[in-house]
Amino acid sequence: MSLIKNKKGDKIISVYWFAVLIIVAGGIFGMVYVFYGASYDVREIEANVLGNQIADCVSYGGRINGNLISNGQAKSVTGENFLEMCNLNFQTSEWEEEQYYAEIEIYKLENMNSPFLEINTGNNKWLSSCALQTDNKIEKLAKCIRKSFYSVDDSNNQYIVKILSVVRKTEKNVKL
Amino acid sequence: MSNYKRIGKRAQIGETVIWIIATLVIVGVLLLFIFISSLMSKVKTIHVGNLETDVKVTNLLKEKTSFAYQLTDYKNRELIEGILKEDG
Repeated sequence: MSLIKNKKGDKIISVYWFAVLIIVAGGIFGMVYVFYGASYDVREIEANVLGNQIADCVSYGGRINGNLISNGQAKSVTGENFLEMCNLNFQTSEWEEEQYYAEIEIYKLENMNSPFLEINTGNNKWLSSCALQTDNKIEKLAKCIRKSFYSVDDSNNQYIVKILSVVRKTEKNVKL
Repeated sequence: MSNYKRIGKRAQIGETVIWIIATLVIVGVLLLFIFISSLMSKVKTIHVGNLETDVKVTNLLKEKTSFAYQLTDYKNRELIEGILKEDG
């Protein structure tokens, strides 16, 4: 009689062990899914790369691009022209809306109050994110990177170049 | 005989309680680990400063500024450096 009872207990214990095994396996699966399911946020790097690309286009070897400023005279450059000139394409098939915005301001050293040449291109909807990002980092907003450097034109006039590059792409970089 | 039965029942109850507590501990530890991994997953932001490359990292903008300085014999250098410092 006692032998039969023990067999029943063994069966229950082995079922329990299977249950524990499933719980542990489920837990490990959950941990891996939660950690690797979260996407990497590379927007800061992307904005940096965009800023560098623009900087390379605006000034190379310390001299400002002749298509932008020549002999102290600013040339009329639209946002679209600028993108074409710099071999940039802000429209991608993956997104309905443009996910990038760039702002280039070139100041004469003598007058830092108003830009000598200003170029805006891309979707300016994302510009509002930059003002909010200065106070605290909000992941769902677009990432903004500001860069500035010094350059001269072909007549050795001195300029300060300020670049703002903005990348949104929130859905692909942040777990919503 | 009835005393033996009572002791046996008590032992069975005790063992069952231990198993239940053990199960709860296992589930609790797993939930804790899942919570920790969810916290760790939030820090998956790649910053430029964290990137390791074989190539010596040079600051592109500093390079450009330096080239421009050389072209103008470092004219107004302090003023320019002040402006660039302000912009960060």
